[in-house]
Amino acid sequence: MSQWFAKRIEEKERALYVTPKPPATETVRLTGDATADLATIRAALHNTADFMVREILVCGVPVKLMMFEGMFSLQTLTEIMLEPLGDLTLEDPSPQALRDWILHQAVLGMDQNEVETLGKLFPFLMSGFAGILIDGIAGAIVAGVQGFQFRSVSEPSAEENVRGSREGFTEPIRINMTMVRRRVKSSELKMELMKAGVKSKTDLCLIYQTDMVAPELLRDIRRRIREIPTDMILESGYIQPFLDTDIISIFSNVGTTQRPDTLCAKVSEGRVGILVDGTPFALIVPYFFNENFQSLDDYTHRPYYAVFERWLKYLAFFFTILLPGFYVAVGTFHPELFPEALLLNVTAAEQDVPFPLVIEALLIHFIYELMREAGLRLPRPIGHAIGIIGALVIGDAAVTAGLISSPMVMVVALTALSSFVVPSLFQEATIMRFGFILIGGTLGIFGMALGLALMIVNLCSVNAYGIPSMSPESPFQMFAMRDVLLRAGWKKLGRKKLKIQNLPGTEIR
Amino acid sequence: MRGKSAISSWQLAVLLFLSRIMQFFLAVSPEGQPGALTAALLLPASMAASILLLLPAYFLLRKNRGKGILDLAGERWGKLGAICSAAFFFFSLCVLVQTASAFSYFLTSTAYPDTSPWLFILLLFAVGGYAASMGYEPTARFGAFVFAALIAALLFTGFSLWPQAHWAFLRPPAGDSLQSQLQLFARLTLGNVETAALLFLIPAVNEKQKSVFWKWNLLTFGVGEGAILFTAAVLGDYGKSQRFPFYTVTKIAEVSIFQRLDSLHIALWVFMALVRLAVFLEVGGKSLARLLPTRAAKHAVATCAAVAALLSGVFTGQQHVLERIGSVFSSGAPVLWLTCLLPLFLLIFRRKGGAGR
Repeated sequence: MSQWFAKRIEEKERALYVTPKPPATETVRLTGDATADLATIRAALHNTADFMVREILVCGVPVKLMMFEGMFSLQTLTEIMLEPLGDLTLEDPSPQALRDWILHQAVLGMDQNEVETLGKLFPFLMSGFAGILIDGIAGAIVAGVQGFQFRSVSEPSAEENVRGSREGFTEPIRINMTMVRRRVKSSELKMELMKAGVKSKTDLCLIYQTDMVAPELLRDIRRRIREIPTDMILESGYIQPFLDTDIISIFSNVGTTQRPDTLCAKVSEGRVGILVDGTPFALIVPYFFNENFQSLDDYTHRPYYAVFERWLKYLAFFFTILLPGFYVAVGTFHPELFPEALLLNVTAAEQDVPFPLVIEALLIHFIYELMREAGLRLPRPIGHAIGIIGALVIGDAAVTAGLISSPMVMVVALTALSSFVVPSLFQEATIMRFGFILIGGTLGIFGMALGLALMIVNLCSVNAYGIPSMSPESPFQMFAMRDVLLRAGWKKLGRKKLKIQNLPGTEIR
Repeated sequence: MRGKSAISSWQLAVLLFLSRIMQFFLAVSPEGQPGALTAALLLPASMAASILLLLPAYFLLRKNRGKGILDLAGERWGKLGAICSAAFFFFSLCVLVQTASAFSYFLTSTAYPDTSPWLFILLLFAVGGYAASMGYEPTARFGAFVFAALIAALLFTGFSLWPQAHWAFLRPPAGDSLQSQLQLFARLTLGNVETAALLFLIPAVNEKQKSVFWKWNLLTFGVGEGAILFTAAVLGDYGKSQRFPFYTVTKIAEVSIFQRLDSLHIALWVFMALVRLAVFLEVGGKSLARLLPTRAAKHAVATCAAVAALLSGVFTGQQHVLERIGSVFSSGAPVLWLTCLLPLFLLIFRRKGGAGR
């Protein structure tokens, strides 16, 4: 039966989608006849409008310069390529002598390579390199003269901190790589460039510390990236599922950060950072559950305050997923749990509401999510207006109209507030909150306990790249608690460095 | 990437402890049962007797490190080894049915009087089956959280009711008849179904296998003794009229505005019931997998959970069947056979040409 369904789904998929394939011209080799090669290149590019070619003579040898419009800097091109080529005099001018001079003596760009196929040439050209075709040479020389427009380095919008750097990652991968390198001037820090995306050929950069990373972890990540079948990778979120655990889980084992300092800290513990060209969000692999409750501020503040903050975050997370469901469960099935005075207030408030508690909770949380989503997508000035509407509609009008009770408004306000404390778990918390409201309203505390148990078992079953996702809480390691439930001072923390593959329950070394 | 299903000695000890303590909490106090002090004194004695019971298994597993009892049965008895798998499967099935029925009875008689026990049973087996299907590791890791929550809940209950504990309520053992004391001793020793689970799960422990027994018993002794004595000291003779004495204790515990926290204790007991179900679903599932063809063996845990759920639902309304299962366990025969006699026979009898000679 299941096979029949799988076959039907496959048939439907085949009718709708196509499997991404690399272009057929990928393996076409350059012949050495510059005019014919250029014609092949143009044909392979389907005479695209942004492809530019300049033909020049260098020491009597015909040379064709190829570039993509807007991708290069004219000043750099003139200064480091056109002027030296124009001034060049060779004793024995020949295509081979010119090639040797460019490759071995000249510096026409900081990054210079020779390529033989179109599949290798195109990614360079499309990254802002200039391509040089020399008549008589079966290949092309590429030199980096990039000069495209990009957003400047600015403060990360999703990870603001009280203290610490104001620099956040930006879109070009090279800028992001320099931001990491500037922070860790160690020979052990290695950056490894890869490409992913059958058609987009997006640049990825694996960042790791050779003395800390587990080779098995690194091999697994490389394999997973190589096997990504997607044709376009436009954001790090496109590759995140391929790096994530194979177990169906609501939580991810791949973290994201916009901060170079956070990435450096994670890499120094044996994790692998992945930068993706075109996005300011870097990926961190593997990422454990407790890391969602850590921020850079924890390490810049005084330890006692950092511990307080960390506990506040744990509490906020459980508040945001459990509080509405718990309120509904207690109000519906176990009112004896309320202290007497509170019970009287809740009963009085709920008397005028026409809906059962569970419907009321679902309704108000749905309205809240609606307004949050609207506020997020709208331009900022209009977004503020949404806030005012929310305050008026939920806070006042709905209560006055008798659609919801005031204690429920308190619950949703507290829940919403708590959900912003741990932003990295926002998506998971939102979905789970609705789930807990439903099971709390239908099964009471019993259902809540079952749901929570299911969540914890699911979290515990994930071994991200062979390392338990819940480590070091479970399997428990007392020593590691100094940076999980507590935050020891730097005099203690700085003495010894955590290596993630040494955590209890780990299968890799 | 999935784990290799290797757990530490502490993790297994905690799992067995939670499973055992769940049995204490759900114990319905029958008429004529010896006093709490007698039970508290008999608990260490029963642990000592368990050592004797496990001696054949100890020698068997020491000689064949890394192998489980079912592996050894297959090696030494060939196809007859399937009897061993079948015995463990039926044993687990009975424990599962008894646990689920008792727990659903507890829920319907305390917090949810109008709800069908089927609902609780199906949901418990769905979540327990999920945990068991993920392997030993997730259940063991989940167990650590439950253990921490249990200790916190017991401390809270203990502190809040300390002024109400009257130690004079503890009746001296001399007041109990020798026969009732012996019966309780036998029940504590041979009715301890976790001993069979220990024997089954011990190869999954990746270090200090011998210490599991001590750690498990140390925890059970410490917490079990405390819970039994404290319940008796708080409730006195009133406890004898209660179906679930420990539940009654949690009902009257209060600190400041925190009162009537029994519902929260129910949440904790749901966790513990899930641990117990997951442990025995693993035992039952793995035993069943050896009896099924390779393709069907993949679904052994799910099959075991489905069968157990069905039987639990059917038998929940039939008290005489549950009592019958209970009396079989109380007789001690299943535990004696699985933990003592079976390893002993495996040590003595080997098929001609079978491995292990």
